[in-house]
Amino acid sequence: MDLSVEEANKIRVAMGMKPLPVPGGSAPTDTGPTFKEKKSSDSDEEPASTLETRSAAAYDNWRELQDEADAKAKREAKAAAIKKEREKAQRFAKLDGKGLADDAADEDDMAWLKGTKKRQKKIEKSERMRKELEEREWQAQAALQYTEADLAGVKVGHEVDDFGEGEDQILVLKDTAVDQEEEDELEAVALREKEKLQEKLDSKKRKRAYDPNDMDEAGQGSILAQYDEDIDGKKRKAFTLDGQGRTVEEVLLEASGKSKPKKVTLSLDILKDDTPVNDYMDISEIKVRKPKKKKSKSTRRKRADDDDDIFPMPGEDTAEHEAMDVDEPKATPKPKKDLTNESFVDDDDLQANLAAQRREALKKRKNMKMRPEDLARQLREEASATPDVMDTTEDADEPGLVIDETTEFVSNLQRSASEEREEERRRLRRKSSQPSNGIASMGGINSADPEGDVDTGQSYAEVEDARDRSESHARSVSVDVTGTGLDQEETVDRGLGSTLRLLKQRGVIETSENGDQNAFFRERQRFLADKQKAEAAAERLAKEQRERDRTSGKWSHMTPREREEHARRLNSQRDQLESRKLAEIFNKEYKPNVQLDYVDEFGRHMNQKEAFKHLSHQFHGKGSGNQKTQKHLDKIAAEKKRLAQSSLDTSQAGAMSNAQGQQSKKHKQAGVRLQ
Amino acid sequence: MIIVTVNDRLGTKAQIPCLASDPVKVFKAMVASRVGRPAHEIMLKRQGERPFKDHLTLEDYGVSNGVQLDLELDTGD
Repeated sequence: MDLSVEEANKIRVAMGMKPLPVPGGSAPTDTGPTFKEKKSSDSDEEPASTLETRSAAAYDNWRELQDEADAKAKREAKAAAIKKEREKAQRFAKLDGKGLADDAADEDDMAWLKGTKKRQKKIEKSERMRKELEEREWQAQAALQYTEADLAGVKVGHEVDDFGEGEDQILVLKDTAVDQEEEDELEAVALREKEKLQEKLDSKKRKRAYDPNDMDEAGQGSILAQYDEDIDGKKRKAFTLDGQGRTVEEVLLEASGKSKPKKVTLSLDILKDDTPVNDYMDISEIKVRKPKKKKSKSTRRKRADDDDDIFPMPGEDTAEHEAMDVDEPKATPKPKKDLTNESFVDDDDLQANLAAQRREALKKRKNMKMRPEDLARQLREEASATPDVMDTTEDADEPGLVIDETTEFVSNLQRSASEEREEERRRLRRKSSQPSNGIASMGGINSADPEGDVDTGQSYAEVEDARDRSESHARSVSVDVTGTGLDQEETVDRGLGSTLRLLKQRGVIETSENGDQNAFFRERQRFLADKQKAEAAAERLAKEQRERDRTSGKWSHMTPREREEHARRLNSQRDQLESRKLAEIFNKEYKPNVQLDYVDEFGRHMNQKEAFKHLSHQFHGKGSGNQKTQKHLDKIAAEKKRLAQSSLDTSQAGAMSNAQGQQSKKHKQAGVRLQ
Repeated sequence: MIIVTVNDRLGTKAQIPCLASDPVKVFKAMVASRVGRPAHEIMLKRQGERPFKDHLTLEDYGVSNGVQLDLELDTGD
C-alpha cells in the first residue's frame, strides 16, 4: 500500500469523511461511531442481506482472508524447513560408516613391509599368466588366418594375363557338383562374365575356317584347327598357384629353361609401309642439269614424223598392225629407250633395283589372297556384263577380243590407205559384176552389196557393220555386242526370260539376289506337305481302327446306342491326338510370312504412307480434293511413262531425270548430250 | 476498505485505499493528494467508459477491491 492508511485517514478526516479502519489498531474505536460487533450482526438478521451489513462485514472478511493467507504461508514455510532438515539429516547419515583410511589402519607398517614381497610376486605371476594367454590367443588366430601359402596348388580358371595390373579381382570357388571328382577351381565372376560375352560375340561373327591373321606367332597350328574345339572339347585356360605369388606353370617354364616365346615386334608405321613401292626415284633426290636450249627443228619435219606414226606405211607393216590389233588391242608401243639405256654405266644397278622392287610388289599382291566368295562374285559380275556372249553356241571358239563400236571407231582412225584401196577395188569389181548378175545378185544372197553400192556418204563403220551383220546372218548365231559399250536393252518379243530381264533392268521389279525367297518357299511347301502327310496318316489310322473295332467281337455285343457312344469317344480321342500332333508340327516348323499388300484402283502397289492415306479416306468417307487428286493422277501417269521408256534412251525429256540433266537444268544450260 | 489503482498510462500509477461507499469527489481529493494535481483537473473513468460523475459513489460504478481506473486531465468541458 503506497498511501498508508493513516495518511489517508488524515485526509479523510480533514474532508469530513469517516476514517478508514486500521487493521491492527483500535483506531476505529477511539473516534466516531463504529460498526457493531459481529455477534450482534449475525444475531437476528441474515448476513449480507443489505448494503450496510455487507460493507460492515467487508473488513472482517478481508481480515479473514488475510489471516488465511498468512497461515498458509506459515505452513508452507514450516514444511519447507522440515524438508530441509530432513535432507540435511539424510546427507549426514550417508557419511558415517568406515572409510578407506579406516580400513588400512589395522596393520602396522612393519607387517605391510613384510607383505610387499609377497604382493610383488603375486603381481608378477598374474602378468606372466596374462602374457602367456595372449600368446596362445595370437597363435590360434595365426592358425586361423588364410594366407597365400594355403592357396598352393589351387587352380584358377583364367589366364594370368586376364588379371590386369593394379585392379582387384575377387575369386570365388567355381560351381560344381558335390560328387564331382574335380579339384577346386577359383574363378572371378566378373572375368567369367566378360569371357562369356566375348564368346557370344565371337559366335555371332562369321568364322572363317582359315584365317591367316589368326595364326600363332610360331606359324604352327594343328591341321584343321577349327575342329579342335569340337573334338577335344573346349580348351580351358587355367593356371595353378604355387603359394609363393607365382604360378606353377611359370615356375615349370623357368625350370625347363625355355623362355617365353618372343613377341613379334611390330612397327607402328604401317601406313608408311602400305604405300606401294615407287618405281621411280624421289624427285628430291634427282639433280637435273638444265639442258641447253637447242634450236628446234622445223615444225614441218615433225609433222611428217607424226603422220608416219599415225598412218603406217602400207604393205606388210599394216598386216602386222592388223594382227596385233586382233591379238592385243591395248598393246602399248614399247619404249625405244630400253635399247639406248643399256649403254649407261649404272644401268645394271638400276635394273637390279627395279627388279627387286617389282618382285616385292608382286609378292605383296600374292599375299593378298582372294577369298572364294570374292572370286565367285567377280566371275558372276563378268558373266552378267556380257550375258549374250555366254548364250551363244560358239562359246568355245569365241576369241577373247570383243569388238564393239568404240574399238571399231578407234581402229578406223588408223585405217590404212591400203584398205581404202582394197575397198575401192572391191567396189569396182562389184560394179562390173552387177550387170551380169542382174536381179539374182539383187536378190540378196549377199545383202550387203546394195548397201556397198550406195555408201559413198556413209562412214566406214557402217559399212563394216553391214558386213558384219551379213556374216552373222550367215552364221545364224550372232554375238550381240552393241555400241556405246552398253548392252542393248532386252525386248519383250523374245520370251519370258528376256522380259523379266527387261523389267529388272528398268527397276520395275526388284529382286533380292539371295536365294532366301526360294528357300523360304521350299520350306513352306515342305511344311504343307508334312502337314498333309500327317493328316492323311491320322485318317488312315482312324479308318483301320474303326475296321478293327467292327470286326472284333466287342462290336457285335453292343447295342446301337452303345456303339454310337463308343464311336464318339474314339473320335474325340483321335481328334485330340491329331490336334496335338499338328500343334507340335506347327510349333516346330511353321514360320508364317505375313505381308500386307495394298493395291489401289489402278492396280499399283501402295507403300505404307499411301496405304494409310487410302484407308483413312475410306474410313472417313471423304477423299482428297480436286487438286490433290489431279496431282496424284499426274504422278501415276508420270510413273507409267517412266516405266515405259527405256533406261538407255536419253533423248526424251525423261532423261532430265539423270544427274547431268538435273545439273544443267539447274544452271539453265541448254544442250543435248551426244553419244 | 478497498484498494483502487489509478493509472494515467503515462507513467503515473497510484494505489489508493478507500471505502466503496465514498463519493467520487472525495476519491478525487485523495487521488489529488497523491498525484499532485488539483482535484478539479482530475477525470476518472473506467477503460472505454464515460467519466465518473462527482456526486455518485464508487460503489455505484461497481468499483471494488483491486479495480484499476484511468486517470485523465479534465479540461472542464
